[in-house]
Amino acid sequence: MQQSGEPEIDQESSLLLAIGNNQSQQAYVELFELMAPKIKSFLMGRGSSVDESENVTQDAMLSVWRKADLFDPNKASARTWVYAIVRNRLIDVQRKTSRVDRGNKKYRYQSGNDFISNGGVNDASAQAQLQRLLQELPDEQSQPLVMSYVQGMSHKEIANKIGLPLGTVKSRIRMGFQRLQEMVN
Amino acid sequence: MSTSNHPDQAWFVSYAAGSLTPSFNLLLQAHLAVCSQCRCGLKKADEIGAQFMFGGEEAPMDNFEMPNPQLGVNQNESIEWGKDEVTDLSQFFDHYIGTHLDGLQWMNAGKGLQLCKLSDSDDDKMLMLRAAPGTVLPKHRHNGSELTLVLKGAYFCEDALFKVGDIEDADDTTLHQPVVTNDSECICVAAVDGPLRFSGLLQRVAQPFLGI
Ligand SMILES: [Zn+2]
Repeated sequence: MQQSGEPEIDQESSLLLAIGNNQSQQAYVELFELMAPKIKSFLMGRGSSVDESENVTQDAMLSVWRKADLFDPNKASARTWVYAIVRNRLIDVQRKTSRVDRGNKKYRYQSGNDFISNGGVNDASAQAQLQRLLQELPDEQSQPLVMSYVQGMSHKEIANKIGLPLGTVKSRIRMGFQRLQEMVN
Repeated sequence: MSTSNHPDQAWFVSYAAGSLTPSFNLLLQAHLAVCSQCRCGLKKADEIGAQFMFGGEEAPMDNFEMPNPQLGVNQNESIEWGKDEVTDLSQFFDHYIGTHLDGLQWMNAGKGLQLCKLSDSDDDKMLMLRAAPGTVLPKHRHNGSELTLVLKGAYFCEDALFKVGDIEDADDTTLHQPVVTNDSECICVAAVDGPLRFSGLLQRVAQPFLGI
């Protein structure tokens, strides 16, 4: 198993392996307590109601339980693997809801800048770390990334909002993504 | 315009963010099933997504409890980059659309070209195109994004050849005119999020009737 050097991330991967290898219910409880509040919060930030967010979180955690034997720690960290499960549940739920309903959701992060500037720079949390990395990017690159991941906006919605052609939006996302990825690794 | 036969990485950021409409998700899923390079791109986008999610805040849990692991039905929920094997697209319709290719209702849309609308809303259209060997398609521009996935045969556009499993990624910067190769008919499925703008007068007149 690849060690990330971050205790929380390594702990998550160990728990997921314990679920996959031994169907450990204790590990499942611990993983749920570590991850579910973050998953729920992420979904609420995307405009889902509390109920909807909890349902998707529950479904995702049940998938985690059932699929844990497929988790390969050499391929990805537990959180990347769980993230992929959550977003697949999200895509599935959205398929059944119309775009209009989603667009009308009241609660979304107000703007990308809120997300970037929310955390204190002295805070050692993962949130502050990500925010610091985003601040390293030019605004024109961090903004469409936050709009995509945090606000769930499509290329077209981003293009309309910032008044630029789609092709420009795509290349800013691509370039910002590449730089963010280089900084993370 | 992208000259490669893979969608721009920006698409996998949006896919990983769950911010795409159903037609675009479906097309990308089909391409991911045949393309290990893009599966790698998606995994990278999921890594960043995980940073956003697990680097975010914690919601209050109140009465929200852990689901009993014995609950729930087993769904087909595999992770795109979790598998190494590459599938083929021969089952595309049965698998992704839920109907067989023969069961589609085609309408004629000019010389050598047939169309079939699979879904149609303002910002999310999916259509099938079926073109006879050697067909030259009308030159057109886009008001939004268009992803085209080749299911059968091949076509040239600009200098690139698009074969089965390839995706052509077009947007408002693209003026394009696909030309089907001579050896086989070509069947494609396209996801579109805005009306196409044909540049020829005849096509502009025909466009409202075709409803594309
Ligand atoms: Zn690809």
